[in-house]
Amino acid sequence: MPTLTAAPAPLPTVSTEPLSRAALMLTLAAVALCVLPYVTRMPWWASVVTGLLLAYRAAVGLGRLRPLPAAVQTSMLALIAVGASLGLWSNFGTLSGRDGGGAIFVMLLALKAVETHNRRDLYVLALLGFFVTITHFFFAQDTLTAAYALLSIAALCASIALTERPSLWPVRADSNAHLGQDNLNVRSAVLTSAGKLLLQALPLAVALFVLFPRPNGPLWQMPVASKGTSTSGLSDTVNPGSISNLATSDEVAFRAQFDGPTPPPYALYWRGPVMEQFDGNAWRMAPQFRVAPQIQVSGASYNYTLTAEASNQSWVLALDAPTNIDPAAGLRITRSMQVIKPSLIGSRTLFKLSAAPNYRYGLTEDPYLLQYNLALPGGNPRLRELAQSWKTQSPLGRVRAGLNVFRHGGFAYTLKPPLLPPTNGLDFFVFNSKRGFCEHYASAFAFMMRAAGVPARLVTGYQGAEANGNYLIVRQANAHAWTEVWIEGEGWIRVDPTATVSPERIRNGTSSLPDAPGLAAGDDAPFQSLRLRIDALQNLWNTWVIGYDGAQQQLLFKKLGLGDFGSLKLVLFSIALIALAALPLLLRRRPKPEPLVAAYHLLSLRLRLPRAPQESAADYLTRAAQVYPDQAGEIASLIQRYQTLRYGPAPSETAVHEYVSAVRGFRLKK
Amino acid sequence: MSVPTTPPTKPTAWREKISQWVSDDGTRDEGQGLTIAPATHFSKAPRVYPTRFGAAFLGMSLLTLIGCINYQLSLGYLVTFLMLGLWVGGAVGAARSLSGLTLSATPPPEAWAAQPIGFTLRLQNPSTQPRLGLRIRAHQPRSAALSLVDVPADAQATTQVFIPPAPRGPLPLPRLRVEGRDLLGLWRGVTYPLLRAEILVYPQPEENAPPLPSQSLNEGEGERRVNGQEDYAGIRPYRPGDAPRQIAWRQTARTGELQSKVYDAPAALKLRLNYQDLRGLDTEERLSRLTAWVIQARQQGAPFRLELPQQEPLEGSGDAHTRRSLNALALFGLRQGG
Repeated sequence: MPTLTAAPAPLPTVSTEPLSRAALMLTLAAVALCVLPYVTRMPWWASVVTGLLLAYRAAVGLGRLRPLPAAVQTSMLALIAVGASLGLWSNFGTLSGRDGGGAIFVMLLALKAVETHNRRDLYVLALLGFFVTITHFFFAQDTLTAAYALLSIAALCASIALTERPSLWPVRADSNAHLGQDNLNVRSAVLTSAGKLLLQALPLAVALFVLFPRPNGPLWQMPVASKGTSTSGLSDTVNPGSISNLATSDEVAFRAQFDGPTPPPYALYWRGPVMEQFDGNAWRMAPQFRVAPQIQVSGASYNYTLTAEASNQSWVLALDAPTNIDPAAGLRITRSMQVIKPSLIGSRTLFKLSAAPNYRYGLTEDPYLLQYNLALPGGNPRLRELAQSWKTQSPLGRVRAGLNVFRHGGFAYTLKPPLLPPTNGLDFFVFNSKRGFCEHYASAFAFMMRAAGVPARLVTGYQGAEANGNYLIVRQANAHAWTEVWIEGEGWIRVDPTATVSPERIRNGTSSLPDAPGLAAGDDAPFQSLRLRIDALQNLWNTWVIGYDGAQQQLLFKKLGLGDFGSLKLVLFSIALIALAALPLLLRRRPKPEPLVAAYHLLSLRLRLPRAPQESAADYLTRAAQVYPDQAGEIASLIQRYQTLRYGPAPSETAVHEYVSAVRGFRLKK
Repeated sequence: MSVPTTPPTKPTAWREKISQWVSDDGTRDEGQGLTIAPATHFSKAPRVYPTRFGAAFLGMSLLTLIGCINYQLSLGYLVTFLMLGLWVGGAVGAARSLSGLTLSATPPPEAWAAQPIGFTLRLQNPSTQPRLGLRIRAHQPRSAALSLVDVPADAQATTQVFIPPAPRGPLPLPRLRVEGRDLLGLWRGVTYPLLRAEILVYPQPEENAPPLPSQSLNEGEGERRVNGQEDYAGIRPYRPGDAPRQIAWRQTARTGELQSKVYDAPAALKLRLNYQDLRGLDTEERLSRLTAWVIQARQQGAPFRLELPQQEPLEGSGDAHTRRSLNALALFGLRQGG
């Protein structure tokens, strides 16, 4: 070795970039946190496999488990990938969309986690983690989900920061002595600053959230939710009992906020699926024709915003009769006046709608359709016989006769009706039990009308609402079924037989029923006001966070007096807001100077004599004494006191305080 | 004869030119170390660029933005904008990762041609913000060796910067590339300081050189003496490299110029390392072998006499003499013609 003093060190290079164990563990934990909510949305085996894959990688990383040979591992992963795809396909029927796509993405992410070998892999995992975090919003956008997403992002940021710090890599290229001693300190400092960075970025995110122009329509249509996942709510079939099941649920179906006054309670019929097919027991939806119905509107119409909860159904519960369907939101209307969203409502969604309570529709109805609405299967001979006896009357007279059956027959409206026999159930209901819920009355009435030769059908939906401040809450308990009959010259007319039996039901909702369990009773219920207040907050969140779309944005800008997009005011406001929001990122917090040093600096300001950077206190004293010979004694005492406090034994807090006030009290004469 | 001290730059490589223009910060080390200006000034340094991960991060957030627009995921917007906020914050962090650092370099004790040369770099961080994971390497010529260094708050750190093997002769520390990143590694702040530090690169010692020549000096010249430490021989003007204890203070005071005392020893013991005797080798090979022999002689503690053409022979032993000899070998043929 040609050396005089030391051998040239071997060249350090950073080419391999090995994995740091801490970074690997934190990334795996962050990824696990990100995918955790999918446990409730995937088949159980998928959750188990995902968990096992992550646990396997963690165990190998910790050295608790010897990794499988590379070839074995790769082929096993391939096998799991194929098996998972097939399994998820058979479960969801698809590998795209919110449910199938989300599940397969989570499983592939876990597979990728096993194949993590270097820092770049960790970065990839973290980026995929961000993506998974956003997919949660397809399922829910409530405050809890938002908080959870924030937590996931904090964990991801921490893992990225840890991955990035080369000083924490296991094989260190350089040889700085100070680092080895407190790796742990560096690590916690890195994590703290990651949290700080996130907090600093938050105002900018909020500013962009408010200002970023929101387009009204989607860029392309793709179904998000797949069928098969059921939530409580209306369905496309009505059996006796299907709606009374809902009546005990105070789950929110949707909320509605009217621009002007709210329509009266008796007009609050929210139309859902219309049933035209009867098999003797259950009512079903007939094939839907997307032909615009003929609606004649008279009187005022109401504009309102409907915030639908996730229903995994396509129908929008619009108030009768819907006018001005917003085509930009992709809404359609069917011949039976039902508003439909082509894709399923998989998450809370806002619709801008308008309604006209005074309307006539279907004046010239297709004879084929009317025939369809007269079809009756066999069975229920007594009810049929009774209805056929009215055939001599006018159609309107037949309707009245039908309602009179319920009005004078000693019928009772109850949430717990007796079970109906499978055959001739309606006969049993009308002539024996006489106790039923809305679907019983609607079903029996529509049956009688059809038997009497009046086209009739069942309409399901919601009736009534609970007012809370300036908006209405419609719960599953408001689910209702009524009938529509067609009369020459009048078109389709809504007839609600339940109203004749129990007018309170229409006025006050199911809560007025004596046997309504677990429902919000009167105003005197202790938690009622609190519940409504929470719901008001929820509604605020729905309107201003979840439903913050183009229209809402324009409304906000208008409220702030900023005008439309492109106006100078808005541009200036945007620039100012973004600059303000970026301030926490740009500002660097200077450490507060020690009070003693600050006081000494204040003294130099009072003396109007700037100190030179390296000037000693003694030199400064000489200089100051020359400039202000009159006050030399005072200045000297102040500067000497500073010296003893600063460089002598550690001063007490009161001594420092006294010195500070002494300097504050100092004034130049003249 | 002139041997370039740095490898010739490719003449027409426009990329090289751009790289040179980009890296010339206009800042020079005046011997006091070089302080990197805050990035807020309109200076060329430090500049920030997204890292590969930063580009991927931006790509992912734009992807999610498109998704949010399409599916009208309002909270998705919030998360996307949070990602963009982190990205913007990263640029600020990267710009701050270097500003205010003071760099200074010291050369290694010695350096050999065709071997990487490690300069010691000292980084002072006067701020309260620790500078973590700085990456430093030689920029022109580019070195693959990357030094990683952390500078804690209000402290200093040292690291070795290795520059690529250079030919013998004086070698100033080439321009360096100093890179700092933000917390998440989304951006890099880069500056190219030119620090003042120089080293004389000795010729590469020949590997497996033949053993030292054993011929003596007294070929028909009778008694000859060479520089040594045994006997006092006289006074001569001071030459750089003379030990302080060698200085003849009385004569110096009298003449006004530094004078050194010269000692010598019997010449019969001396090795003679002669450039001209090495036939069949080119200049660099001869210098290479002579260097190897000088080192061997030093290791054996043997006095030797180095004879180079058109130069006074150097005689003596010990570290100072070895160093003088190696200096002469390193500079051989370089100083002619100014």
